[in-house]
Amino acid sequence: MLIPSSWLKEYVDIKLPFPELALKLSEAGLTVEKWEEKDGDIIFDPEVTPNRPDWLSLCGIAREVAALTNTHLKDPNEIALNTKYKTPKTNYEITLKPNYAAIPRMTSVIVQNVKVKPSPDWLQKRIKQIGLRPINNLVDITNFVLWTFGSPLHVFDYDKIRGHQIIVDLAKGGEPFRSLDGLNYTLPKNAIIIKDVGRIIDLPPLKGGENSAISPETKNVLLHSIVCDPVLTRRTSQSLGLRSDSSAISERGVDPNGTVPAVKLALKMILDLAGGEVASELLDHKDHNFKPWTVEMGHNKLESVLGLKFEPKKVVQALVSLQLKPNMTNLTNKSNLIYAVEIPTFRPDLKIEEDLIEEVGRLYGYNHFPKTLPASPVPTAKVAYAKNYDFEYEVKQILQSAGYSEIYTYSLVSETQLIKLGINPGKTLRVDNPISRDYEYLRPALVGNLLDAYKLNQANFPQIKLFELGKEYKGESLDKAKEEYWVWGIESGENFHQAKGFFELLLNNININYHLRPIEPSDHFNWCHPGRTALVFTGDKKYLGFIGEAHPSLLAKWAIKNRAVIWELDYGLLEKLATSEKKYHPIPKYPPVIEDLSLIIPDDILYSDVVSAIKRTSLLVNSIDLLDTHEDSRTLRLTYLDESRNLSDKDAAEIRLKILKTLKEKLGVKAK
Amino acid sequence: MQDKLLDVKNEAIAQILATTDPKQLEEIRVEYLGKSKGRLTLLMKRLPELPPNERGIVGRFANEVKSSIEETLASQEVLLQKARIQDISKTERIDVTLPGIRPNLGHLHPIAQVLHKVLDIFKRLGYQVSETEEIQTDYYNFTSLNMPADAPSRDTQATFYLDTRHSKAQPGEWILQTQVTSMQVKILEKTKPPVRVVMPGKVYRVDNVDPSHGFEFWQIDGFIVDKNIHMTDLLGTIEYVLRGLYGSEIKIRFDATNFGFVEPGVQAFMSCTICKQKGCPFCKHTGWVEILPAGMIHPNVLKNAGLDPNVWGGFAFDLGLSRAAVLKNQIDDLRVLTNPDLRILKQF
Repeated sequence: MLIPSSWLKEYVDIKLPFPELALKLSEAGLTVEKWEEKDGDIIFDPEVTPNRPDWLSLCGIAREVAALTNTHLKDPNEIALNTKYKTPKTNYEITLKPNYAAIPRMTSVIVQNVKVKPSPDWLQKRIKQIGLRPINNLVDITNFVLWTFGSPLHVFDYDKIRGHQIIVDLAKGGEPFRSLDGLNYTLPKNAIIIKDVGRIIDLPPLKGGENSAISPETKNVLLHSIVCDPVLTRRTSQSLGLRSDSSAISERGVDPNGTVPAVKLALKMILDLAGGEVASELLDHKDHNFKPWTVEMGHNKLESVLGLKFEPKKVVQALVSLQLKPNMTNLTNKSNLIYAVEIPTFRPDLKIEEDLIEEVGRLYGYNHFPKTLPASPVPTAKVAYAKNYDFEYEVKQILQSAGYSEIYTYSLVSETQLIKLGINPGKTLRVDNPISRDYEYLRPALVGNLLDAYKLNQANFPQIKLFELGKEYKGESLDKAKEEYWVWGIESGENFHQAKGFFELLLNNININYHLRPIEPSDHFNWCHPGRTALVFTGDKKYLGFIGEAHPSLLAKWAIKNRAVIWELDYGLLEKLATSEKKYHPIPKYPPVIEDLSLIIPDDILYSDVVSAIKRTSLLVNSIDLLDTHEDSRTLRLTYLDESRNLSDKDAAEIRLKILKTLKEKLGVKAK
Repeated sequence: MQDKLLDVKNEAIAQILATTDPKQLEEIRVEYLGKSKGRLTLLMKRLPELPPNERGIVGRFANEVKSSIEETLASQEVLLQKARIQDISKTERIDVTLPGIRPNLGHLHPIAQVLHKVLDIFKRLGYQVSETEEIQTDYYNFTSLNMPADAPSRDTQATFYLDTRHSKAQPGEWILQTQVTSMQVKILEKTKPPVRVVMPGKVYRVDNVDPSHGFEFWQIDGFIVDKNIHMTDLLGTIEYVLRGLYGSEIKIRFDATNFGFVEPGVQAFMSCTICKQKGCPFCKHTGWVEILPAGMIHPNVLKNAGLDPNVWGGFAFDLGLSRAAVLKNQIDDLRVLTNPDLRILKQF
């Protein structure tokens, strides 16, 4: 909404120069960031918060400027109300059937023998300044008055109103409507409509109807100003995707006492600029008398909420400057002092004590407030839905030290990605109103985005290591929706064991017991190489993740040329099982015996089988490490240790013999 | 015998003094003083063959020979060592300007880095951390926060609705959270005040993607519910957090504003860290960036959480994490944060 400051000056004295005034208004909540100097006038574009209908008008902004800068306000309401209203000589026939649920107040008047013509230059200039196109004197007047008071107005061609009936109603839904700018709409249920006999002639406050619009030939007009129900207006506006200056004000709540001054000012202007005579009484239909209401504010509460001491006199001054009417119960005793504040109907946002506290606070200016920190002790009870970000950071740091770089990707993914991954989109959570097909489904796995990221980087980097720790959205339908944290990694090359080394490092670091086995066809893992993948389980056999080369067919779908290792870990499970406790073991009192065994292991025997066989052989085997792999043989370094005595060469030889015997008999493993 | 000893001595010393290589010194030591075959050792082994009256004199002389060889060896070794150290600037020179061989360290995402920093600051102020689901009901995301259906205050948060097929849910009932404040009433329903908590999370809004907008971004919201909490506490907390994050030299400004779930409401602005208030597209040439909307918790929100607003009060605030990361690293485009290009990631 554009505001020319020369126009604003007609209602309030402006003493502050512009950048300062803009800052002052912004500080008080009426954000003015954009303005433009044009022909010696400054035109600004305030951003109005949704609680303030009054700021969508010159009057409302003038009131704010007067309160903030302590300057004189010329109340345009008074100007309009003092307009002499001549008793009509003739009374045109009209039947008005209100519906107060839809339009709680409607003030109408008929004018005869008007001349529709272009507005005079001064009015055209104003209309252009506020970013509208001058149409003709009547339409321009309604816009001028709308800008002045924030009260929506409309002029009908009286002679086109069939049966001279104005019937306020709600649409049943599905009715066609053609607007005065020649567009066709199908009305949603409960849209506010105005009908004459048998036709819809207006869709207030959004669009006038073509069938009742004024034209150059129009002679007699019905002018009205209406208050539309905010909720019905908003629903219709959203349903039709239609917004107007009038609807923006109506959604916020039009001043129900604004219709009479608005009609009076518009009437005066019509008589001045279009000629004619009044041809009806001022027909004011209202649900009830809209009276100011009272909100009480305790002085104690004011000081407690804001954390500042106030002089009651200053509080009263602030409230009065905003055209509010405070009455005090007891001025002498501050602690029991209550301000009973009468709120005018143009401030529907002031409903409770806190609303008034805000008025005092924002006029005082938050930039003048002292700054403190809460004085109460820090609460120690554990908060609900606690989340351990320390652990997350620890895991991320381990990943970082292992050379992985972190990515953050969108949770919303495309159907194409799901299909490439072999995931059924029909069983994936989805939003009804995606911004595009690219971002429609909630990712059930992080792998797709990771492959995208890998592909993006493959041209620039020979070595890529990426990870993402984020949510996966599981469940075939909303009833079964579950958000789970997973961490996924990808690294270039076919070095499975390097990636596995990272797994071992991580899981050892956070003290998680795990075991690992090769993938089997019955595991149905389509994303991984069937011969180069391992599944990882917790000590009590819960699935913890996998690690494996990406399946060649998966890489092909992403046009990734080289091999890559991918892995996933159930982060939620990690967080649950991880401990940071370290248990101290004293350095052994007796020296260990270390010896290396070179073994020839048959193809079908796993290294892990060899290790567990060795461990089962003797309790004195303290550790087994793989030292070297050479063609068909592997060299293992064994450490024997007895906590209670020195082991002799003879002891070691005995263990070794036993081990070799077991390996040969059970696994067919021979010493080299 | 004495002549032989003298010859050995002279030869040894001459050889030692002629040596330039420390390894040769060791060879000389073995040649003369070696335990089994050293030339001096062999001579000394023959001492018992001498007549008793000569043994003492020759023996003493032999010992003198031995120690003078040893001393010469030692002094020559020191000399050679010195010479070598003097020379290493030339003989062992390397090109220190060649690039270093770096350990292969990865990079954490700028949002993760800023989140870690922010949480650290809030921890110092006694805040705990919570998180709930992103798939949220309209009630917790809006209605419980004093943003009822049909309230214009919802306009700034255009909402993604979940597809309800194959489910008992009503269309429109489940949404993707548009603000992490959606956790506020949920947390208060299950936590007895006093409470101080921050809630990081991802939020979703139907919006076009451009340098300063996106449909998915990160926030960290937080609130206090306690007795005797003042607006001045809120302003002080905001200042503490922003200064902790961006340094004490930044300027902070507060504007009044309106959000459904607070009353009174404020918007904190910070001097633009990208252009240092010279004016840039990111701050819309105002020198200020909106960074942290906040306010005193609206009594209706407390009531919705089952708390008596006459007893309890508090404040709530919302820090845009994506925005914070952008400002922290002078990134001029929000889209950089979701771009997984390593040429970008490696800068952080």
